[in-house]
Amino acid sequence: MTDVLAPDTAPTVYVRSVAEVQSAIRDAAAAQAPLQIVGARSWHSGGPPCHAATVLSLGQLSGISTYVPGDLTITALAGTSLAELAHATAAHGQWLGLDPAGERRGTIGATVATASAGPLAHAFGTPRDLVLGLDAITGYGDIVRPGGRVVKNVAGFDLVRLFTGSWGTLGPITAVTLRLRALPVHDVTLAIPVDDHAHLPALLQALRQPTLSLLACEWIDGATSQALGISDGRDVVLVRCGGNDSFARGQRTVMNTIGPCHDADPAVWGRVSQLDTGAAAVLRVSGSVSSVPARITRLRQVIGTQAAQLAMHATLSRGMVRVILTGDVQAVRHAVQADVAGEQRMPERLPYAWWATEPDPLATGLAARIRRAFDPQAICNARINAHA
Amino acid sequence: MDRLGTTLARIVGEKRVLERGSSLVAYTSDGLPGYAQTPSLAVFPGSRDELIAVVRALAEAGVPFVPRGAGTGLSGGALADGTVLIGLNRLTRILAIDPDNRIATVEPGVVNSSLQKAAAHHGLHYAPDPSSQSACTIGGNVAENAGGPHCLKYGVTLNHTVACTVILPDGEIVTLGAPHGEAPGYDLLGAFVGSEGCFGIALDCTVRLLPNAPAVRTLLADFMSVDGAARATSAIIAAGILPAALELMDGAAVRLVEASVYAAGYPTDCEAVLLVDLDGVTDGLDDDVAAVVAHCRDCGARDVRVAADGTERTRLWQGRKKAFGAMGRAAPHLVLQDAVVPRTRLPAMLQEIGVIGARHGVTVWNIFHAGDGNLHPSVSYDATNADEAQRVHQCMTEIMQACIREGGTITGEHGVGLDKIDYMPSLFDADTLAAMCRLRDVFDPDHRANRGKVVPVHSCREWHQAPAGRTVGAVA
Repeated sequence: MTDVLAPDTAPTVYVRSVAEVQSAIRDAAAAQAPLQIVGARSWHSGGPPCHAATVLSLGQLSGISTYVPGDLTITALAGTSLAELAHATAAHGQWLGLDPAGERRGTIGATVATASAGPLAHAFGTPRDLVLGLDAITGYGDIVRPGGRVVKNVAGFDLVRLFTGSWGTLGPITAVTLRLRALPVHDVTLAIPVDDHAHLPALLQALRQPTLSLLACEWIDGATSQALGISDGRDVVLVRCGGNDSFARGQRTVMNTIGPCHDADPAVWGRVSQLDTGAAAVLRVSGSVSSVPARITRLRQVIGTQAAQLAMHATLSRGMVRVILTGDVQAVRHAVQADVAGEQRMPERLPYAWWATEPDPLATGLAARIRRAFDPQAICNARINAHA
Repeated sequence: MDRLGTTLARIVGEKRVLERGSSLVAYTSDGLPGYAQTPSLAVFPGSRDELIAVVRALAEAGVPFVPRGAGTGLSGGALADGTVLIGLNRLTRILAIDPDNRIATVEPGVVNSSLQKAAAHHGLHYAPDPSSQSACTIGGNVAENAGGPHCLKYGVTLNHTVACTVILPDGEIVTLGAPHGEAPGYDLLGAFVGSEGCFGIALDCTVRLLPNAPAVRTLLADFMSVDGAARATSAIIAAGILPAALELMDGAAVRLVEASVYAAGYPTDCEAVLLVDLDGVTDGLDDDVAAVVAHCRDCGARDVRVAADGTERTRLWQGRKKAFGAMGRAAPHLVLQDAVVPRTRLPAMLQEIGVIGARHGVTVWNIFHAGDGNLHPSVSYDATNADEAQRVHQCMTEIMQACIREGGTITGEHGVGLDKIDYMPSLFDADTLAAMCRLRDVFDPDHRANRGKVVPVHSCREWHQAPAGRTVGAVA
């Protein structure tokens, strides 16, 4: 097996048609020359390092193939950027309820392949909840087209869910069909300072009351929120609510009963999604919703006192804290990679050497068997330490 | 009792193994008429440990099996043709309700409405609400990825299932998903939900609970044409209003309901009604009500009324939820189809259903989840009348083909089972079907769990090399 490290040394092939993707996969399988499959490479160092003789870029396989605003569904090629989707749908008063971390030039194919979501997951879920159908090419070079263009569909085994979040390891996704939402008439963002972390559990409880129907509800640490211009250095819970005029006014009233809050520029959400720019390590640590405050405290204690700069934000309803580390991160390696009972750790980006000690969830059990069933020669995004 | 029966009886007790033809009659069909298959035996484990032991005994004997919940399915998915049927209806414990984290863990035989009642004590509810919710089980809902009227806003079973402990057909126990936080690796839970009993049996299911909406408004709009109601549906959705439920019943169905004990006060001289639930926080809800009323009137609604109170709301919904029961009055047999079209194609599709029905001399009733584009064309008929049965079959076939042509799918919530399997090659190409088979092979390499369902065997290249002696009905 050719064993060249991507992306630094492997040449890049840009494909512009599904047929070219299929040829590339078949050629790679025949030559046993593994591929690293990428989108726009806006998330350059995300994910585990791969074996790759060639980088296969789907970033130019772009364009919206079908958009029926009346159905609130859209079909786009994998390389279509999030910005292009936002632009096309906004023209019809609609949006895709996905705001993953990273630049808007990032592609929808990569977003679905990595099952990336952001604060809007509070209301709309993750790609798992939003992808209605997709086209993909397996490691055999076969084109598969599970799902469809309708919002409800249980025909056949769910390959859509299987490919969503598979990180390209079953083969590249070439097109996706997505569920859209109407853009709210009013889109209000409010910031609630958290004076004392001990108050966060009660605040979390209050924010989950049924009289609030929020689009997003994100805790952000004090230094980060100060840098975002929404805090004086205190931690903040940033909420977003959208709807008609009466709804927006009513939600503001409820929020004011919870505690003092102030308006924030909705553009701050765009800056939240780019907090990881230049970071050396990024990971999501998740567990029960009720234990988020304790999780934040623990992460602060084990990581925050070290030399590395720590930024954290948490999607409260998902029980997920996202940890972003910059600077000298070596000293916190042990703390970052420690397994803690009741918590799941999902690394997004780590220093290269750290991946060697990261468990590979695809290496054993059902996942490994699925991997072999769809990409028997490990041609697609084969993790360096997965097939040793 | 044969050797396998004896083995199973040692696990669950003799009374929980049925082998005689007369005792198996109740298990020869599910909610879908037109199919009858008799299992070789039926076994009813009463605990998780018994279920595990049963599956492992069957694995050791190399015997195929079919899992079954309440048998309310509408695709023939729970029928066992000469194989072992595993009834899960004794596994009825709600293992935990965690109101702080809004999840519940239940055994697979817990009835949907039992979970609703238990969750209600905490001001919570489980969103998927199939019409059979008073009988169907959570395990069955997970296997079928069941829906229901309120899935329009809140999503189907997949969107509310966070983890399952599953026994694979070979007896291995795996945890799919995670009760809390993100599960690493592939979305194996997503693959399991809706796998129709072909990937194994859930020992327990952890599902999300939602807080009850503070306010609900129920509207009934009546139209003098089905087309008007369909256009109103498209207009409401396209305007970005997301009702909790948006159901359409055509005039023939309305009159049938009103002539039954489920009479709900629907106007009997109309050609269609829309039943709309809008829920959420109180502020702004009445603005959405006004917008829905306006869209209905723009599309020709004769009258739109808002339920005055909970009693009227319950009554209006009773008519919808029991409509299929009311159909039982019309003829001895009922065929209830399930297909989905893009919502903008509803007016054209309903028109085509009318044309197809007329061509075959068949009256097709339409009672369905209009907001999702999820059609349920239904016909009452006498299955013993060969000519009528043939016309009904041909009519339904053409309706399904028309749905595919309109860019839709062959099932939105009932599953493929036996009933839709012949349509699969019309919907998916050979490579996609083969990929589905590959996924099934990972979970069940010996092809013993609910075989012959969902994907046609001829689509599965690998199945042609199936292990010798493991054919359907090969009971030891």
